[in-house]
Amino acid sequence: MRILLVEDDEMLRKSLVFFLTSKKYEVSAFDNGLDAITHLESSENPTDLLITDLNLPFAAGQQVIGAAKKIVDSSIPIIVLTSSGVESTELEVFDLGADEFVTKPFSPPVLLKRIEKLLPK
Amino acid sequence: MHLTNQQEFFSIYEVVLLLILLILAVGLLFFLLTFYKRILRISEDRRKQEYQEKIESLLFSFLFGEMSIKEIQEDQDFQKMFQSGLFQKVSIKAIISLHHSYSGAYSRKLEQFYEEAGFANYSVKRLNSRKWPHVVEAIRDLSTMNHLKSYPRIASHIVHKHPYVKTEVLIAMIKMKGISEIYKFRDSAMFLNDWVQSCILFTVKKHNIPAPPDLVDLLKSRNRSIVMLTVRLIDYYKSAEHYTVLSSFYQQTVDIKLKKEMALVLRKTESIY
Repeated sequence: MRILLVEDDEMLRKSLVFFLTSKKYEVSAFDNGLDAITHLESSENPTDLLITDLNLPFAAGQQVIGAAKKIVDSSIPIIVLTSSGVESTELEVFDLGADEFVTKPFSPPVLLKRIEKLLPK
Repeated sequence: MHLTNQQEFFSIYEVVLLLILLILAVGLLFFLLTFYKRILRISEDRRKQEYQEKIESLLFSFLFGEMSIKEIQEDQDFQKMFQSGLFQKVSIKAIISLHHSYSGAYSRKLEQFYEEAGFANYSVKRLNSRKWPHVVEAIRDLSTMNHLKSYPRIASHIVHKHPYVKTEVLIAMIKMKGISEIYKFRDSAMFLNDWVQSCILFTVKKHNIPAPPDLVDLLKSRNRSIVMLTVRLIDYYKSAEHYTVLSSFYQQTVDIKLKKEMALVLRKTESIY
């Protein structure tokens, strides 16, 4: 299972790559939205699940979600990872097509449960 | 006469030459100094990178793997690097960064790592630094990592001569033991300006610090700035019980600024209820 992780917090990104790799997921990680969009749009990089932050450099998380939704025949499940617990933000990302919303700080096993729910093995 | 002029000419020539040489020497000195600093910076960046990679690998193995703190302490590279202040600085930054992102058992594991691997000692030592930014950094790190053992030492800095240190101590006390810590300063002369109050309110919000049962008692404080902070805390908690008491204080107070702040808070309740 291939996960695309987009998170600009270096320590969080690296630790999640370590955590998810230890759970046998294949992870591609980016620190900005633009590179993530390029990765998504390339047919050579199929993605099974997208985990993205909202506040990202160069292209926001909302744009990454938009790019994932634009892919033809794509039904990539999306988990939004953000420090904003604001109700309007939550509603906005669900309207854009996100499947789950995880507010920072969070527990990695909780994130794993959500991934397993969206990506049954 | 001719000879004297020639002598004067040579002396001026020599002075100009000397000046040029001096400027060149100073220029060369600055160039060498900049070059030396640059080399030092490059070497520090390389060491930082090396330390960052090491601490990440150990920290992640401890958090998500099965590596124990004892095993980490037995790691030869760790033992060698641990002697360096830069390694401790880089490590504390990494631990705190993860602590901001993770909650529950993982947050507690990071606190345990900070304490048991020996990084807390580095912060505790910095509490005695003569440089106030180091003291502020140490207070912030220890309180963020909820290092309760260092609480008495942090609290003792409330008499520090630098106002930033005092503010950091107050915030740390609230972070570690809750809002009831403000009671210790209830009738003190300590002035909490708007900036300090906004820092306290930010901390309360960020760390979800609950209201103490007797919060409204602080309205009786003889310290006007503490009364102001209490009104703002009442506004943040939005508890009906607090509003009743605040309403009665509003009737009694004669201080115009306080009355205005209380009226603002009470007006919001009218729109709520």
